[in-house]
Amino acid sequence: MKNLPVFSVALASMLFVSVSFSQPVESDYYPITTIPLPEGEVIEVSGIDVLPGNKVAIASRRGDIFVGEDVFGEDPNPKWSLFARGLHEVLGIAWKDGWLYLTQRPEVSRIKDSDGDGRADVFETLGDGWGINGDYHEYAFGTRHDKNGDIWVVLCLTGSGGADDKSPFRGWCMRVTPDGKTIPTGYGIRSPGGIGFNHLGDVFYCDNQGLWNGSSSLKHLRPGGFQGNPTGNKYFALTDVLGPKPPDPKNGSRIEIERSKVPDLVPPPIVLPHGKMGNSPAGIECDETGGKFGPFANQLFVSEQTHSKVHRVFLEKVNGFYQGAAFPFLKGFGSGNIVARFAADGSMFTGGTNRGWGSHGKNPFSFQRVNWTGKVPFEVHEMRAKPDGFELTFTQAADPFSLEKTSSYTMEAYTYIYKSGYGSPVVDKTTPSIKKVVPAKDGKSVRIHVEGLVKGNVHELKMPGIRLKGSEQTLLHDVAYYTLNEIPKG
Amino acid sequence: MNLSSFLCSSALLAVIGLQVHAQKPPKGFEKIDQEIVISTMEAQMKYDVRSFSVKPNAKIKLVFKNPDALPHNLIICTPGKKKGGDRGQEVVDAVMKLGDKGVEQNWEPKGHPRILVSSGMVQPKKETTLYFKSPKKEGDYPYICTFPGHFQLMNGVMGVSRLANPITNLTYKLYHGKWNKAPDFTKLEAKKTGVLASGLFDISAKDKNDGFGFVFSGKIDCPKDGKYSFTISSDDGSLLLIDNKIVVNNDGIHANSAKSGSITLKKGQHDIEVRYFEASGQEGLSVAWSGPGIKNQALSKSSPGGGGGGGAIGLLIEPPEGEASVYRNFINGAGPRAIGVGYHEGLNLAFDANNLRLAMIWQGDFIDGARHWKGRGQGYQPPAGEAVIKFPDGVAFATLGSSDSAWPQAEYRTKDFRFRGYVLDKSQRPTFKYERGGVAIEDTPLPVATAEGEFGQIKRVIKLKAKDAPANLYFRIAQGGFEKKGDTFQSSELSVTVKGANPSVQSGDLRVPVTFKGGTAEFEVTYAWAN
Repeated sequence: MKNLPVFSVALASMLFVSVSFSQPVESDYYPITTIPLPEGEVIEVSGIDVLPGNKVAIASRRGDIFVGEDVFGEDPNPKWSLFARGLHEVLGIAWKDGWLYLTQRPEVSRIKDSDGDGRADVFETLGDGWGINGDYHEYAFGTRHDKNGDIWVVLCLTGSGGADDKSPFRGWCMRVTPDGKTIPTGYGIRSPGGIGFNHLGDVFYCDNQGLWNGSSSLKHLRPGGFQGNPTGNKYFALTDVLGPKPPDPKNGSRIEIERSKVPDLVPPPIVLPHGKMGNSPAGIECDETGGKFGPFANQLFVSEQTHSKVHRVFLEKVNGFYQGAAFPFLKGFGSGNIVARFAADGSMFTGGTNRGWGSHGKNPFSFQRVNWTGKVPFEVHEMRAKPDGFELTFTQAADPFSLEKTSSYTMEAYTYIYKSGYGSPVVDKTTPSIKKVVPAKDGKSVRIHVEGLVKGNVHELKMPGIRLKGSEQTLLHDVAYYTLNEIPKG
Repeated sequence: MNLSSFLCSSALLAVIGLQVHAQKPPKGFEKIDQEIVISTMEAQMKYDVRSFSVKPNAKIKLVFKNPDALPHNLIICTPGKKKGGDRGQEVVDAVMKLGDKGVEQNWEPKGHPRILVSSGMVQPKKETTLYFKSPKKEGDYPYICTFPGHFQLMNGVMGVSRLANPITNLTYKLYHGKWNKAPDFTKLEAKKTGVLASGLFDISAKDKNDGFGFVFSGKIDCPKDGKYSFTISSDDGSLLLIDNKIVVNNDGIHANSAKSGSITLKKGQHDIEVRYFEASGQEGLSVAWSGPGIKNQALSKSSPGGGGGGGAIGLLIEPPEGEASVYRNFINGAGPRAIGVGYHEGLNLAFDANNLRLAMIWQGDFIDGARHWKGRGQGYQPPAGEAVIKFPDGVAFATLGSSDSAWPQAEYRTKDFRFRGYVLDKSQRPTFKYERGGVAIEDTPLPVATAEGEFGQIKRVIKLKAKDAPANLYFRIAQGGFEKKGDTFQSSELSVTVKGANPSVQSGDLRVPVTFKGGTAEFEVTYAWAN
């Protein structure tokens, strides 16, 4: 609504006074800086880590690693140097004790520059206990090290929904230990787009809409957990680490129904409604910068490939299960985001590609940086489930009058079919009614009492009526998607 | 040498010049793969064909006609060592050194290592026919007239390429600019011009990644009267013209996409022109044709038929000067965990980290990255070069009951087999490390330098270490039809020598028993291509 022509503002203001107010935009708080890459190179950024001495390492889908200096600052003009070439589609890098750990398609490896000439010369294969067989879908995304020093890897199925006999453990999560063991850790994966930790070290990944995935979602990799796609369960024949093969879920059901029959089925903590939030969620990065990136400490930031965005995710644990809300955060990236990484100074580096799958950002690849300006955006900070509704907190005090009106909010609940076919329409749509709204005195939170919560469904909350205290300013993003797998007991 | 002295000496030569080459095909050349006719141009000091291309190791008939009033020869030289090649400068230098002997030797420094084929001096209004086998090694082979003073103008390039095609005299002009569609290039000044000896449309002469254009022109040889169709795929726009008529219009800014058009042509040579421009982002150009007896033959290094998420070509990986390139990916013949290595010497190999074996070796171009780097990257990519030698599938090391026991079928990726990675030397050349049971193996393949124009060899040093050395460990080098000749074992494609171990042919395999001393063993295998 910026720069409206004067006459229309005048006209509009007669009807609806608030239109003339110039609402802030995302870039007022989180500007995106594009970082130049070495000329002549195609670097479809698929892994980022920050190295000692304020350097960054970036990996590419073509299998190169470059190290950059001077990537910070307002108008960065980095010095790039080639660290390694010819690796197999690196989707995850982690710097530790002088080694760069890589998750390549066939293996987790570590590489090192032992003679100090700036190029890696030692390439050690750490763990490769899974199969690949020439299918582009056989991606492997890896984490940094967990507290035990393990790297977690999620393995995409062979093809959109296959599990080749020559490609053991497709659709599984494996851990590669420091001593080179590959340990089957979870199963039921379809097509991951990225993997990461929360601030407690628990592991999450994003799985894309497709077979047995009605919508894309962020999932919790609980050891031994079943993530919902049974295609790779045939590999239980190869290992007894996780006990016997569980029963297959029923086709055409709901996750909420099947999880009562298949106890290891982990309901997705966050459903990212397809088309609304994006089409292809990817990397997961937790803000552990202690406030240097703004008010969202310990929340997760999810890269979105198709829409060239970053989402924000708040998680809580209810009845022992992770669940929570997803919020739009930032759009307008140069290419399809697949990975993000925070630096200690609060910079968030992002990288992306649009090869193979198109993206709203039209560049074939990009490396960018997001910084917080220090201005606090007016946003929902956290959204928690309550026995009869939700509690929202805000990053800034809201106008109490706008908070207490039920007309400031609308709510819809829905879910997706849990089926062997590709994707799902939105089903089981209801409109839970907002019975009562009780704002806190300071305007920093509000308790929403809802009739008609639906266990297992996404609750889409829109808050167009909420205003900043003493202002016409709306929420920067006035929608939240809460996945209500569990309802807390009173 | 000034003009008068050169006219004088040429007159002298006209008397003693000889035609020494047989006009009837020699044995083995009754059936040839390709015929080329090159003629001198009257009073112009030029060959009418400035470039042509042949496939490697092909039987070539070259008719050299001299309608000019002066004697000329045609000497094909091996590629120069300088990057980008030369015009046979060392041969020209050697001609100069002949001095007084030049005349009697017909201005040919006989036996010079860079001379590949020579026509001998051909007198005015005469012609000669040469039969030869093209080199196995791809590259640009310059040809020159060594008659003093001629070579500066009288030269050309024979491109040896497995993609040899019907286009000759292909030249390019490179332009800079920002366009939304192909401009009228004739009104612009070219930044660079050059010859494409390969006869393949190729934009790799570009000197920037955005905002450039090319005009390629050459002659295309139609084998028969008939309808010919052309396909051109480009990012961004392109046009293809035959005899100045637009046959395919693929103009405008767009991602890589193909268009086709057809035209009826008479047998013989026609002008072919391709106009191409790139605005920004990714770029690419590929061209193919079909016609009587021709089915979708690529006229560029990449083929326009290759899109759709698999099989794209056009991103040849070339090892930098003095270095090797590593390419880990799905490689056809080396499995999904393949590690391709291209050495700048023009030799290549692929290691199979599933079976812990050398999977194949080849010559010439290394590998095309486009299949895996364009689109989603489905499938296995074969080597780009030629003379590919594949080694047997399955594991390369095995413990056997006796030296002639059957080789185990499939053992790979059991817990006893571990790929451990590799180290790179200063030239980026890997030493592979792997384990088999309790045996740790270090495997260093290296190209062996050979004389100019000769085929390379690959030497492999294999070092083993074990706490409890197995008594019956064998290494399988290769399979099939080996005969011992002196120190070497020869098959139809390969010649193998082994140092530090005693190979023998057992059950159809060439095997080496591995003998440990103090917990270590070491041997050396040299692979040479059989001629």
